[in-house]
Amino acid sequence: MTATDKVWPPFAPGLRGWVGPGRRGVPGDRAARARAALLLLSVLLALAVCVGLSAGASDVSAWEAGLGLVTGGEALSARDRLILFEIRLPRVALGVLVGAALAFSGAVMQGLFRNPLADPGIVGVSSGAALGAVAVIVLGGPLAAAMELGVVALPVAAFLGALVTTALLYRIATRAGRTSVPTLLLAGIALGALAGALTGVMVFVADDGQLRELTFWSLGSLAGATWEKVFVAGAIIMASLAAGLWLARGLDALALGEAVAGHLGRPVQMLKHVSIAAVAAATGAAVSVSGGIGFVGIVAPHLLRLLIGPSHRYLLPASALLGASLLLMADAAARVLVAPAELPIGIVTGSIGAPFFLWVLLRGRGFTVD
Amino acid sequence: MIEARDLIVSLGRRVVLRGVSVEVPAGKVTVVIGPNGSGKSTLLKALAGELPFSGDIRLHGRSLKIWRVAELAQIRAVMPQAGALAFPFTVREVVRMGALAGAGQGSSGFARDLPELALRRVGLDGFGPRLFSELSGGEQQRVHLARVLAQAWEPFGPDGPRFLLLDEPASNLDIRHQMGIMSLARDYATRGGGVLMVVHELGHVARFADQVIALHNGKVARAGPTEFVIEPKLLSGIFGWPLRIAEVLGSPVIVPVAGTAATVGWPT
Repeated sequence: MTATDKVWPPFAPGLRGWVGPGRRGVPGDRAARARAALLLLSVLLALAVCVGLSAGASDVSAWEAGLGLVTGGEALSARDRLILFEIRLPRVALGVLVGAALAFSGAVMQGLFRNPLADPGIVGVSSGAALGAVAVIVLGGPLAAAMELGVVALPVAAFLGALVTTALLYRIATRAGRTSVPTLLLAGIALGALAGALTGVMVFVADDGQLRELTFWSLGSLAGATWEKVFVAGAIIMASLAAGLWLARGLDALALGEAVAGHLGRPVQMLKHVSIAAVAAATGAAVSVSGGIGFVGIVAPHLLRLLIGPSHRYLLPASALLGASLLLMADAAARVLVAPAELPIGIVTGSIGAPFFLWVLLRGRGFTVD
Repeated sequence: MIEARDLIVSLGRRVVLRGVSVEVPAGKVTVVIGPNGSGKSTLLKALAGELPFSGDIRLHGRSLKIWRVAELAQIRAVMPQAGALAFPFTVREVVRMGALAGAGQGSSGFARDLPELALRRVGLDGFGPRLFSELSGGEQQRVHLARVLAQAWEPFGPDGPRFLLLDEPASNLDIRHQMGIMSLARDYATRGGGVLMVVHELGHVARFADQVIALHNGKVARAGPTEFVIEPKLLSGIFGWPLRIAEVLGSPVIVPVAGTAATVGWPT
């Protein structure tokens, strides 16, 4: 305690806006609460996996499915084992990866643009990724098939489409180190529309077989899951999530603006480039295996910011866990609601996510920055 | 020591600084004064390494262009004029960002307490758990100051003295906190650190500064010890209003001469 403290004493705080500590934390530090939330979200994901394995036209209970997974399926009939390991398990694995990728991409993009409404689906990045993938199906099909690149070419093209869109978006919306949110959203709509128009051209020139494959893109679905897709998309998505570990503290600093992030010793240019690459890779991989599934990237990070605060060190992994759980539950709903047929999952996430987006907008949190 | 030689900075097409040479030594409070648009903030940003410039800026004798951002963060902390913040961070989380960039890394007791110590230093004891966005403007400004303090907490580091670059830290605050911030800067310099700040209230400058840089139209009108710069003729000239300096209860007070805008040539 120095002399100045006595001349200029502290005073008592009010209680408005008080955020309680975690059970053992320092007041105002939500790290303990965030760690507890991560644990709960892991449990939630495990439950969602069991639900995902048991839901569907064929009758395998959640208990049987969970047990079968652990024991290798010895207690199951041959038919149930086939359904579990060759149909449902890859589908659930893909759902986990895609959900995690979408929510993670949303959280990173929101951090990069300093706005809770930025999302790859809304600002046209998913459309760019879909354009890349559709171009491969329609134009590059014979070529890729000849080189046996099919399963790799699709995510790579989607990644490139997403990368070009994200980079363009950032260039357009950022002037002199400041990102203009209205410009971002409007430019995103324009780029999304452009990518949509080009995708339309592809659809126009596609033949019947390609058309059937393309329908899948417009609404999004996990139905085409194979182990091959799981491994390719999984590798890309896991790499992006790993990059997120490095991004976390820099994205926090970025909330104070690019100049201040630099003063705090963060390599801002590098941070932006890695963020863009990670978002493009994760979104591209997700879109290439599941088509356009919207709003997971808005819903999961936003709910978590309310729960554990915006520190990216916890927000990024928590978003991945919650996104995976939400997508598995949406997929289960898509399979159960109109069984034995199934809804495209995009319809389920859209009809829950779009009203949520409007709610965020109406709460006035959307445009508080800049 | 931060020193700049023949500094030229353009923002867009406008040349804002036109050949500015200044020295900011450790152990002193250096204040930049000047009318609106004279280039005060630009000078501070250039010295912080935020803007492209021609000329030469050296920190501890080494060109600013050679320092890496991570190294700079260990030596100087910067408080810009307008502080934006995206997302609902708590006050403690904001101050901790500064602490993490400076001495508050790791999990020691000191690292844990540093944000609270810095908050107490700016009169925000106990504000840690509150949401930054729900504070008043003046409180938010002091949170940013606490963040800067947490980053450069000890005025003397392993690489030599540390520097605080503060753009109008006391503006918009009530008189009690203005005095608090000014004496905080004074104290930081007394303990060996360097402080460069933009201040508008000339009475505070006369009272707390060791040396003053007076800018006018992007050039140094005069720079040197406080009593050399804070004198009526120079101040009246650069601010465009006749000023007198009086002494009240032992403190210098800068008094604008009574008169109408028309009599001193201010457009009406």
